[in-house]
Amino acid sequence: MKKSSEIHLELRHVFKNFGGLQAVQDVSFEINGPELIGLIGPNGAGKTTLTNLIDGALNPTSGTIYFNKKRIDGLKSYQVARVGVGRTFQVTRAFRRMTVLENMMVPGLALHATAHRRDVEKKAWEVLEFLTFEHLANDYARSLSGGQQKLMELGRLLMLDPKIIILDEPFAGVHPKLMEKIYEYITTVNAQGKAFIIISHDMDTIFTLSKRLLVLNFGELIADGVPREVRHNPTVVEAYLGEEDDEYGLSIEELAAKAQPEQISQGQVAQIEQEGKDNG
Amino acid sequence: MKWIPNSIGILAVIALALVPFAYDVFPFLPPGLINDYTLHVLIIGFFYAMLASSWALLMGYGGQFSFAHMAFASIGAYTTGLLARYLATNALVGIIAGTIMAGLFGLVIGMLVLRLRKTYLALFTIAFAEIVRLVISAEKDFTEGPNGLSIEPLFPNGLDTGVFFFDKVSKIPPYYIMFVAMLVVLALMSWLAASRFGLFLKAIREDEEAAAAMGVDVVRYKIMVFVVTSMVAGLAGAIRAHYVTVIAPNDMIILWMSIVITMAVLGGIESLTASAIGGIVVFWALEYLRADFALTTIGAAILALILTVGVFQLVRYGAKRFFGVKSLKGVRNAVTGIISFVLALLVAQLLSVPVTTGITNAIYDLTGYIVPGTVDMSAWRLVFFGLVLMLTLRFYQNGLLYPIIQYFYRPGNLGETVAKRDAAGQMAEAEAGS
Repeated sequence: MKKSSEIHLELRHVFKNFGGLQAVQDVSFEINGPELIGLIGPNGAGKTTLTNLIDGALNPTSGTIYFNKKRIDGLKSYQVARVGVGRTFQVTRAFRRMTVLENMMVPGLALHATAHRRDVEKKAWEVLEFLTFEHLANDYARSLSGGQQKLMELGRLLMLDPKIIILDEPFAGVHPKLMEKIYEYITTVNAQGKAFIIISHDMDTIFTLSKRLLVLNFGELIADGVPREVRHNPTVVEAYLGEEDDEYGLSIEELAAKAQPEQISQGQVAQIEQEGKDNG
Repeated sequence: MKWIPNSIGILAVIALALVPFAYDVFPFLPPGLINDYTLHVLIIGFFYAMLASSWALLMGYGGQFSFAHMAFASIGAYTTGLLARYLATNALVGIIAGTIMAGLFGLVIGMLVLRLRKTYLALFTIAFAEIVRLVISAEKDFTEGPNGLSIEPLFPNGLDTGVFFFDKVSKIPPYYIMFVAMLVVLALMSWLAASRFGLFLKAIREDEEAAAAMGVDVVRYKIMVFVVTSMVAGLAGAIRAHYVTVIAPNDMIILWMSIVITMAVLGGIESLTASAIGGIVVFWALEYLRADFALTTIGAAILALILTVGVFQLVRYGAKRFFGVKSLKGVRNAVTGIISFVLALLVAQLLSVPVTTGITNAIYDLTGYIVPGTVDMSAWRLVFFGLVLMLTLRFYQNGLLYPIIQYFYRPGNLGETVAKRDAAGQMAEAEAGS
């Protein structure tokens, strides 16, 4: 896990249409150095599409993407991966009928055509140690729990030794304890000099974790800045608001809190119950 | 415990290498045990072993479900046959050309099916296999069509090794050629499967997009696996053509392709060796079952099967009810199974005649139909293997042989996995609950 010296990703006027649907419209931004970026936006805003465009799974309709001065928008997924852009998927995609160690070996061997198996295996054990997964090395990935698979996927990414890591919903449906572990992974690996783009609906985490926020809405980049600024950006607040007029003026965090029922305070619960009794 | 399957394997290879000279090495063997027919069954068995194991590489490792394997074998066979007919090439040149030709077709098919998954790939390859068969049938002027194309034997003038002389109909030279070809092909494919090629194939099988995101050149490896496995099929087909000396489009009907699939599935598609053994055993069984069988024998077999399951379940129930054994695992389970089988066989032996007679008499009383005393197995043996295939797919998806080999290679793994899965399940529940 050596320090990645040079990181420069640049998107210039990237568009993506699916038939008549404009999934991504005129998105431009740059990443310089090991930044920790949050990418947020309502459902269907084009976050995953944008990820796929950077990763090479999709080609942009127009616009260009450069990584370290190399144009990557025409490249295939595996070429982009070898250049230094690693990503996870929204749904965990472990190689289920392969052992954890084999899962680790795939990117390691794919990265260097001439790499010796022994060296790659050594590195795989290092990564497993980092994840505290050594005891699971020879288990089939399918026998791991969902959360463990997610963590294994993050370990697999390290084997690719990417310069930029894109995580699609790393915190979705994860046990709080595991969430801490993923949080720790991101900060540690980021400190080692890798840039992160993190897509998440978990507002609390994304606001405390990221140093810079990108907000997408209907395929357009409507905000780009430090979390504190973005939080009070009127366009962003409006985008998250939708039709519910009475909630206008709330910050994103407050709206996110509203979206999560378990975060309702005791007082509110009592109030709701009282309302229920009144109505019933 | 690896040494157990490994030494059994080495002994089996030595035994197979000695089969043609069995009576010279072991004079005490009963006469009639090994004859030309035995050699023939083994030669064709090796042919199917090559096909089944290369199909296992394609399907078990690469996840590419192809019905075109027999067609590739026939492409190899017709290439050498037609070259000999029009350019008068010898067997060696023909076999090499057949291998390359099958590889070229594999390349084209591999490129055409890149975007196809599972069912669509299967349909595509059925179409391809049928097209190859129909074209060869239709072009009678070139290929002799359904009448079959005659091909020179491997050694048209016999083979003189200095020590022995084998005439052109001797089964011994083709036996060794097919045997060595099978060993070489198996060794080569096992090496490939153990290398990064095999690892990437498995990753592609599991998840193409994730494999690509991990830097695997999916297109390249998918095409490569088609080329390699088609070449193996072509090689096997070309050698077989020179052994049986007449090839016909009927060799590649879907039925035979299904039998190749059965062989690989029964052995275990995730193991090249297991599916090769499956190929030899299933072909041997198919030949053995070709004969007419007395109704009482079949009755005994069916009875034994039913009784085995019955006794087995009874023992398990007894262990649970009276001895508090939660579940029988591993060796204890296997021993119980074997004892049940022996018991059932003894009981079936006693009951087969009265039960079979009773049933046939009952059928006669009810319908007036006289049940013949023997059964023509030529079709029923295929029914039997169809049933075995269905049961295997339903209950033992890893095949019948592969789990046994795995048992020795990963001792204690089964129990361990079960325990871990339980733990994982509990953790998943905890996650879901939170």
